[in-house]
Amino acid sequence: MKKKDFGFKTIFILPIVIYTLVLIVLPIIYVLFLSFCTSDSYGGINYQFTIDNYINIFDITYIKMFVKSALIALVTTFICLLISYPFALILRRKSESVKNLATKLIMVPFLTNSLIRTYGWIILLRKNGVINNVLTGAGLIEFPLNLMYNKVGIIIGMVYTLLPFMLLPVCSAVFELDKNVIEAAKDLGAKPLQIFKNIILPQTISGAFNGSLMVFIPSIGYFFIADILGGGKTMIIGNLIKNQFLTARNWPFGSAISIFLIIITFALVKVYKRLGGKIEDLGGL
Amino acid sequence: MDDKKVLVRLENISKNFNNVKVIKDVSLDIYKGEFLTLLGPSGCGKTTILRMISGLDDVTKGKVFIDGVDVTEVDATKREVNTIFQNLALFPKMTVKENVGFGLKMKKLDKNIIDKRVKEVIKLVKMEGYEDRFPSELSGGQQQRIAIARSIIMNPKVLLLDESLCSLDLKLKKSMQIELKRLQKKLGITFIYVTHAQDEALSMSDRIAVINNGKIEQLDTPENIYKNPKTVFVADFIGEANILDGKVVNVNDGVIKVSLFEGYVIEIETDEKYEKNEQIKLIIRPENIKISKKELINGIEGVVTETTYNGDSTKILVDVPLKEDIKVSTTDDDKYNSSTKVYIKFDSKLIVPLRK
Repeated sequence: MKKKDFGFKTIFILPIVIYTLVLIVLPIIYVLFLSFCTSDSYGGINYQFTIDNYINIFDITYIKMFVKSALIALVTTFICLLISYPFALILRRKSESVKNLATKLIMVPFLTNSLIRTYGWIILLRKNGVINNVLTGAGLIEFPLNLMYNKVGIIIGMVYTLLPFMLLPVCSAVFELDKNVIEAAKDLGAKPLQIFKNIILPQTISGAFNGSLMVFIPSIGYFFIADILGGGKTMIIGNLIKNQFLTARNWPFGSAISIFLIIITFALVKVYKRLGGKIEDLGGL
Repeated sequence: MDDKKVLVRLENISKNFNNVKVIKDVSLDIYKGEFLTLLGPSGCGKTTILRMISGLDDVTKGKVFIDGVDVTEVDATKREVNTIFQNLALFPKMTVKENVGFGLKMKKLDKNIIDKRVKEVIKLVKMEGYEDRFPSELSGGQQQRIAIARSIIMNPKVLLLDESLCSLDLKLKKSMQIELKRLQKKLGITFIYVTHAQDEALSMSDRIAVINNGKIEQLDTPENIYKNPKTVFVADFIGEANILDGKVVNVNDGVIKVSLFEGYVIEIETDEKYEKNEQIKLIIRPENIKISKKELINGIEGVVTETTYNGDSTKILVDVPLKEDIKVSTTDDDKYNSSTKVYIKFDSKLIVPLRK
């Protein structure tokens, strides 16, 4: 019985183990290894130990880029939070079937490639795009707004692409709220804003932080959104890494930034766990 | 309770949920300081009445007065009424102290005043030493006390309890009942208690309103509800009762003669006017029936079909020439085994006649 059980488990788990080893663990080890190498002037790699790549990260140019990137990610995360809470709180009162439908609708955009969806935004956001045409046509604005090829465009794209990662955990946390607990707060004289601050927020904070991680971390790295909607003018860390590998051909430095990003991610996950979040809830991460 | 001051007045209130009438034209006066129970089966609308008093549900028609003021349009946050919910609804992420102080904090009172009041109230419900625990670290009975403390700290004019003791086991329930009564006497707060458990209602209330199908069937003291039920529903719902069909065969000045079956007639005193040949119901409590193995004068002969021993009494089902078996409750030590031939006799003074 025991032997048979072992065989069954092996058959199903082995492919996953191989997959993880070959496609995730080994590449990361390789990247870690590369990050301590030096590059030669022709884009090749000298297997010579150095920590210069890590020291170079703290160059003022890159620090600025990190800060800018983090700010864009923070704003994106914050906007996603601002959209998700009202959405979840309104949906909370609806019937189960409405909730299910809404959750499915959130997932629909995932059926299309995110790169194509990002290109789609150009049609909406450009100078003579849909949004500007509607606004000027309605007489609300005189001149078209600059909605893309700047930070605004990047943030719109990021929010659009990453919103579901915030919506789903926030919704699931908000839907779990006990109706009676909210009524009890009301009964004790709490006004809507007080109820939100004292009851709803503390009870859903782990869902919100979960969503924030899932939005914040990718939005540091989604270089294609910065490329397409930012017009390549605004670089985020994702662009920097991409450029080091593909354009500047400085693989060791690109590796060092990647490892640095991974460390930041782990640090954030650590904070999440501190706040009482469960690692399983992070799902994809 | 000499000065019967009306504290809560419900004036012809109705409530519709999706065009279904849940509460039908209910009027009810609740006096200051009394313990009133809304008793009824689940789905009868008793919780809805409670929620309309607290303001958590609005009324479709009618008016709600608290202390003489029309609060029909007043928001729940502003009514001087607090509710203890069925599942208690303690705030899970707050400590006992924070839970209890929540209402005062929402009023933006000074922190020192809040701390002082919290301390007093926690002492009142005998929960000193648990101030910094979270609700999940408390037992059911302790959570109950905190829920009570959280409400009474607000000095409500009325405290509403929504089946609050249901989740507790029997022993804890009994001690919480005593505790509640103690608090109610001490604080002089008016309690409105909602329950489907008739034993709770009988033992705790000053008055009981029996609710069925969104209407009040009877509003009276526990004793009157039990002894003089006004409707068949009340008789059936409160305690055990034999509900028998009878036909009035003779009417004579406060005394009617009712035939239960061919050849068996009993005399009942009543103020109600009945017509001859009218079909009526007779309510007889099991403990008001005498049972004996020896023949009883004017008794009915029957056969025991079932006996249940309850410790303080024995319940016996007797098959008689009637539609249903008669439930008898006796405290004597005689053994009544199945198929024993017995005689039963009704105490005619304790029979309640009712129109159908």
